[in-house]
Amino acid sequence: MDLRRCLSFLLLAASLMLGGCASTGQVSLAEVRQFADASARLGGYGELSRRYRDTYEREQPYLSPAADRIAKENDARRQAVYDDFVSIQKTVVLYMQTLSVLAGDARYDLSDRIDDLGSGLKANAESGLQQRQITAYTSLSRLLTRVIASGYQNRSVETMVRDGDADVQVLLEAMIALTRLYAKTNDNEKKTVLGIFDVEIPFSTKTSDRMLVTLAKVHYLNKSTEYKLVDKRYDLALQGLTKVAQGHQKLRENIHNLQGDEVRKMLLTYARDLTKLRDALSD
Amino acid sequence: MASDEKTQQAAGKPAAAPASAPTAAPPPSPAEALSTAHQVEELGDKLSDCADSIHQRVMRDIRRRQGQDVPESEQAAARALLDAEMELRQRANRLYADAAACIVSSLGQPQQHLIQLTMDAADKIRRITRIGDGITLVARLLALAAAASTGQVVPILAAISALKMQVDIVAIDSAPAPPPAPSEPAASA
Repeated sequence: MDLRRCLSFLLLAASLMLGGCASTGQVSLAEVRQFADASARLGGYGELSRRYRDTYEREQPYLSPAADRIAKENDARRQAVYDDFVSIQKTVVLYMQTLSVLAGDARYDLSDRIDDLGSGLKANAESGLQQRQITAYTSLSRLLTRVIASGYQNRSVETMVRDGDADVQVLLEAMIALTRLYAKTNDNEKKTVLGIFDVEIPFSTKTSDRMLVTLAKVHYLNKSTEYKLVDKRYDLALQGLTKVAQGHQKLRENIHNLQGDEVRKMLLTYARDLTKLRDALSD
Repeated sequence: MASDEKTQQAAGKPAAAPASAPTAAPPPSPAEALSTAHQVEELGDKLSDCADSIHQRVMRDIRRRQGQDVPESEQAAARALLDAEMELRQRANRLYADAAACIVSSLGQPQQHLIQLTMDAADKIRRITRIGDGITLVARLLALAAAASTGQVVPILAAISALKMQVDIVAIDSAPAPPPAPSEPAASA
């Protein structure tokens, strides 16, 4: 492990020394870099994945014993797949960071990030991903390892996008589908939590219930505000992921014309939209 | 309807018998897995819709009371329905988890049928005249949701036919709605 890292460091050092000649052919593609940076920094998905994983923790106090039994099983299922869901995102983010490096003048090292990708997906019956996604994940990780460990030798934005697009699209599609399922799960959680109060508050009409009813109303208000804020985030995350997928597809379509004014303008628009979405998500 | 499928299933059995039992589905191809995930998600949506219908129905009665005391029996019925609603939401979330994890065995044939049926049930629940009528229907629905989560064809088919029967009974009950229940003088919906 250390040896490998050492080797990749040496390779990197060598490539930096050769950098002068290696990058003579490189053009700085500012708009590609901005798009890639904005895509890497989007956010939302990671936090919503965690929220999905922790669903049971939040809903447990509100559940009936019968519902609780099912909820516990659901919880185990969600816990089991969390790591894989996050691994997908890490790969896509590292891809975008690599793309950003290739689109700029500087060649900074991302090799520690390869280790961060971890030992790959659990990729067994329990892993929770379809074969197509596992294949895309593996092949993209391999591409990244190769590109980064070689110090980006013989690599350009063009070859990276060409080789990566299909896999990136599969993984983004998976992230979009998962975010949609997160949102639906959250919706049932919200209705479970708030639903009890809809029914029980009107039933509590005795004078002695007054304090309880007051507390319940305050709790209801807090919870419904909380869910209103969270609901928006699913929407923003979905919009962002869709934009990343579209932007990358455009990049692929215009791969031989990245210096064109139209293309540059378009990529800049994607980058700006993504930055706006990120700002909205970090509010 | 359901018995049709049952006989089809039974008829299909001897032909496929030497290779494998019909419940042990072969591992799905990527395209199949994707469509399965979609179908499972769709079924989850339908269960969520049913839960929404139950909630709407319960709230309709509560609103009609306009802050007056609700009789104990009606409160009990509302709570039973609320529990059912909650359980359905967990079943739906299970299907979402399965779709996400794609570890569900293919529901196969009954899928479309099942979706249609849950849609009918949701519609019925919304229109039930007396809240008490809803309880059996919802119980059948819960049984179906439980069966669906096993992914096994036979229990699903059994649950479908039980639910189907109940949906039909309620239809007969509530179609000639005019004869008012004597216990409910203010039941003018």
